[in-house]
Formats: sequence, C-alpha cells, structure tokens
Amino acid sequence: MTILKVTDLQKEFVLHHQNNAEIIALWGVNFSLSAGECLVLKGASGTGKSSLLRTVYGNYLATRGRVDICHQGKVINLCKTDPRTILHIRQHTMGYVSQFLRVVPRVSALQIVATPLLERGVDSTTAIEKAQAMLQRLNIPERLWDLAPATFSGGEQQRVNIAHGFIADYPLLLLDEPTASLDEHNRGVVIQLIQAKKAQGVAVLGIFHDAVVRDAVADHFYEMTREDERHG
Amino acid sequence: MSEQALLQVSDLAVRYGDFVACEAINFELYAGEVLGVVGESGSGKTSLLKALSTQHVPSQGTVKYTPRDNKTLSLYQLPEAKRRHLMRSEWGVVHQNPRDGLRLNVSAGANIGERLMANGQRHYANIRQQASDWLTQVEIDVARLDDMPTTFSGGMQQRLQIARNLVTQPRLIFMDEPTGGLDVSVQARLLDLLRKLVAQYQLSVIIVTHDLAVARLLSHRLMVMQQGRVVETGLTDQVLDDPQHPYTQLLVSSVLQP
Repeated sequence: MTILKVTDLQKEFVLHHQNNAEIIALWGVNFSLSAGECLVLKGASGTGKSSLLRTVYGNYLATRGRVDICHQGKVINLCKTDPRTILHIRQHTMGYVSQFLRVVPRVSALQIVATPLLERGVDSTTAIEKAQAMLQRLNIPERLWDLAPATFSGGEQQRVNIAHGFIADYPLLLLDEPTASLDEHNRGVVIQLIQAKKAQGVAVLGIFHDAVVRDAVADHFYEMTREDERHG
Repeated sequence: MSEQALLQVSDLAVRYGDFVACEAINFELYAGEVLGVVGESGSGKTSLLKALSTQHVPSQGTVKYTPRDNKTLSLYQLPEAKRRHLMRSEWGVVHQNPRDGLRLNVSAGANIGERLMANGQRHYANIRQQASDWLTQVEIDVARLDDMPTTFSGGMQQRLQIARNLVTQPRLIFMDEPTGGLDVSVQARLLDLLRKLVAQYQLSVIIVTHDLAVARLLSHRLMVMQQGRVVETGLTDQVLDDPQHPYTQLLVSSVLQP
C-alpha cells in the first residue's frame, strides 16, 4: 500500500530582502513509498534533502507539485490542504525526527516524550509509562527524566527527540539524521527501533549519513542533486 | 473535520474616522484551536481583538459565534444584554495589564469568585472551594486566597487574571500580549501554564502578541498583520520557518537569537 507519493515537487525560496534572490531548493522530485519500506535520500550537502523532508512535513510550503499522504484511509494532497488537516495528519499519520530538539522551557524530558500520546487522547498513566519505557530503551538515565533537556548533552537531546518521534504509531516516519551525534551502542538501538517500525508496516523516509545505519535499514535510495548540476 | 466553526469572521473592519485600524479580516476559528495574531505595534492587532471580543463595535463586517447550544449567532445583531451574557458564560479576556482585568480592591479569592456569582452561583463554601482550586491550578499558594491582588507580583497578578477567566469554564479566550510586561523567567512559567491549560480544557484562543517565540510556543496557526491588513496566514511553524510575504520575512529575520 502506498503511504506517500511525491509528484514533481518543486520548492523555491524568494528572499525579498536580499535582492529578491531566488533559491531553488527542490526541483522535479518524484518517488513513492509503501508501507514497511525505507527510502533513504542521498546526495551531498545542499542538495535539498532536509528541505524535502520539511516540505513533506508541511513545514515548508511547496512551490509546485504534490505530496499525497494516505491519512486514515484517505489520500490527501498536503500541498493543497488547510493547516488544521496538516496538524491532524501530524498527530495521527506522520511523525518527524529533526536533527535538533526544539526545547520548550521548563518541560521535562518525560513530558516531552509523552506529548504525542497525550495529544491523541491517551490517558496520562499509559502515556507516561510508555514514555518511561522509551527513555529506558534509549538509555537516558532515570535521574534526567524529570529535567528539562536544555542542559542535556547533544546525544541525550537527540535521543529524547527520537523517543518523542517513535513513541506513537505513525504509519509514516520522517527521519533527519537521527543518529548523527550518537555513540555506537545507541546507534544500534536506533537501528533496532527503525527495523521494528518497518516490521510493523511503517513507511520510513530518511536521511542517514552514517553508512552503518543506512545499510541496516534502507530498502531503496533516492539520489538528489543540485538544480544547477541537473542542467549541466 | 467538518464540524461547525466556533467563530466566523467576515470582512471585518475597524476605522476611527479616516484612520483604518484594521480591515478586510476574514477567518474561522475551531474548537481547541489557538490562533496567534502577530505584527508590529500599530498593525491593528489590538483593534481587531477588541472588535472580535465585543469590546469595540466594528465599522463593518460580521462576527458569528456558535455557542454550546450550537445555534450560531451574529454578535453585532444581538441585543447588548445577550452579548454580555455570552461574554460572561462562554468567553474570557486576558488583558496585557492584569490591573485591567482584575478588581484591585477585593481579595484574590473574591476576584475568582465574582465571576461565578455573576453566573448565578450562590453557595459561599462552593465558590470559595473553586477559588482555592483555581489558585492551585495557576500555581499560587492557597494561603494567599484572602490577600489583595495589589500585594501580588506582576507574574502572580497575571496568573490570577487567568484563574478569574477560566473558573467559569469558557470555551474561547482572547489574550492581548499576556506575557507583555513580565520578566523572561516569569514569562516562561506563564507560557508553560497557558500551554497546559489550553490543552487540558481544549480551549480555543486568539492571542495577540508581537513576540514570535510566544506565538510559536502557543499557537497552531498564525495570522500576520501589517498596517491593518492580514498579509499572511498559515500553520505556525510554516509561517515562521518559511515566511512568504516580504513583511513576514522581515519580522522573522529581525528576531535576535539569545
């Protein structure tokens, strides 16, 4: 079953206060992704891999093209839908693990991880228990659970971010270098988590610079190049 | 996702003589949704908020509201008394300056209880109990129940104002720069409290702020205003991370990162 289909996607930025510079971040992107599959985006820095994930997530506004997502049995073109529907899709269908944790002041790691479940209406005891199990699995020491992650190390923050992204059963996961600042052991844990998601039928679209992770989880690759290179 | 909007605003304008405070305002707000209205001082945010919350009669346009009984009302076609009743029973208004939203010559408990009495509650012990519960919810020590709000710090006064508004279980809250005059640490605590309460009570909120960080933290959707007009709307993170309009790009790029 196709979970995500991207058709002729284009993203241009117009910087109105910098001489109206036009930057083409994405151009002619086409692929589709089925349940249980992992598609890995490849390409040098600046080829638009992160921009593609952000556009699929609705964080960037596409200039042209379609992002069709299978949401609760219906196919919705994210590029043409309203903000409420996008939020609904993010709540139930599409999870996203960014490179950096956006920290909310004063909110504990445990609360952050439990949030996706609480927002779906899961009762707080169950949500907290699952969040604890997730933090345990990712080797975040228990003494840190009730602290706000602002003071955590880069690797710890990234693991909190992963726990937050993996706790709910999203049919589609977008992963932007989730293992960039992890040690070997925790990298192994994340590989297992991704493989478990795939086995459950989750479709994964990811960026992994780390060859070990890439080889362990990728089913297909999508090669990205700069727009100017495409034109020779 | 096809339910009735709580608030429907069409072609709303506020003019003072020849001066246009805001115009051509159109949007809908749904239950549980937080809408941030951002823009510089003088962009018409507060005038818009006043026209929406029936604090100022607009020069043009309609504001429709669907109360608990599901019968949509056009606010400015209602008799004044009915509008006041709605405001007391279904809405709350949190002012930037807590002194505008509190009664300073009565105790904290009375500030909260007064709203319940206005809605017909008469049982003193019940009212006092609810007032204590709400003080706790907004993280104020219950021992301060009988103290005057003038003896409270700015952050506490703001939290008391929020308690006074929420005690009657409103569905829609209007907030004008709720963190405006507060220190950063006090602001963070208040924002965290607001986030919690909004989620817990499924509140719909229209929040006017010039602080984009506050807008990002609290709102689902943003409306960017410049010189009385809406220049851009959209999902909060999309508007802030990929602003389309020149004015929004200027706003976003002007924020200092600490």
